[in-house]
Amino acid sequence: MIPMIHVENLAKNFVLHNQGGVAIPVLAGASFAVAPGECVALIGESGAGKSTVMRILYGNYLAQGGSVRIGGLDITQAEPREILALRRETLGYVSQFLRVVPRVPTLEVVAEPLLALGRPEDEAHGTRARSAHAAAHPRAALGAFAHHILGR
Amino acid sequence: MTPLLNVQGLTKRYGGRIGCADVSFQLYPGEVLGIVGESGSGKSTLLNCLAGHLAPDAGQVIFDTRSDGPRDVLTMSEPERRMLGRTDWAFVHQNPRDGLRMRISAGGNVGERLMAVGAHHYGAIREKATDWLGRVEISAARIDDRPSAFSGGMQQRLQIARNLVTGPRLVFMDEPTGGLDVSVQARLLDLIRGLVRRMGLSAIVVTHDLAVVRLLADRLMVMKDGHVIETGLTDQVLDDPQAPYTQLLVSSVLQV
Repeated sequence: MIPMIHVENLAKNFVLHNQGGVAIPVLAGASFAVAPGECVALIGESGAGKSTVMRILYGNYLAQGGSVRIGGLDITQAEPREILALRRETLGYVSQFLRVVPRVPTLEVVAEPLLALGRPEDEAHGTRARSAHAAAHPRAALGAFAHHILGR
Repeated sequence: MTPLLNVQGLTKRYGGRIGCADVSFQLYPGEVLGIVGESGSGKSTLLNCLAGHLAPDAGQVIFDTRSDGPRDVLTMSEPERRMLGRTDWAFVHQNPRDGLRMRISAGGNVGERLMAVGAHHYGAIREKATDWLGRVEISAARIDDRPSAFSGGMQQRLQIARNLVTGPRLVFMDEPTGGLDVSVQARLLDLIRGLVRRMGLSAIVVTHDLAVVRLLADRLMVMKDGHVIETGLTDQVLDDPQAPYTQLLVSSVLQV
């Protein structure tokens, strides 16, 4: 079976140019694969590079070496628009901190990915968004701002 | 997919000084490209060369026209280029006074661009102008007022309505939120973001404000001394900047 996520020989350093050019090595030779439908936990102590791996998988950090194939696309070589398409259609990211625009109501936050897929506005704002919203915050008013919600 | 805009080796010199040097990139339909850098980095020079306001010394700006497919804008005749500027292209200036006619009414400002592309039914033009004023949150009651009677934020929203009314495919924005109060800036950004998403616009946004590109742009080009020094997905460039200058730029943003 073709893995959903295939990481090979991944390498990552952070070079801090404005602090004397020190290089902080984070990943070297990291390889693993995740099959479709499989749930894998990445564990390790603080600073081990877990979040760095996740961010590279999402295209948020650049890798210095190796390859990361997700759904057939090598993230390390892909054009920005290919990564954006992957994020719209295939790849989600649940972060410890939701980065939202403070002025936007929660319903809009949930509806936005549907709008990005080109779904009509009434559908995006309709059943699916409301149900997702209700699942996350049953008692929150639909018009509330996301940054007012605890543990966002 | 054919890029909407394909820029190759664009160079502009001011005598011995470099405006922008050897800039190449492609913009695909529906993409928003942010160009960031400090004052004097060449970002506005680049934008003005792309939009046909400045003549570059070298390079190509190939636009995928509706009727004839990809064509080099720089070798087009002046009337052709002007027609493009009135139909498929839009330019939002930092100062609304540069993009509006201050002595004609708000409705007239929006209607003028419609008339330039052949609309002539007064009722229909006024109706469309009213609709667009509504979309940029200007009350229909202000349609006959001159822009000089508007606040800075309203003038900027009016300039956006005037630009978008003809359904352009490519929008150039030069510091669209510059010179406005922060609260007005935030509302304007929300509005632009909504319009860009809903209309599926392709846009090139020049700014020195990284918060603006984080919100609006899909990808970034970082400029310094006329050269493009880094490109990439917006969140990647901002969260994992590679070039020394980009790292400095990102770390210089003041946190509230």
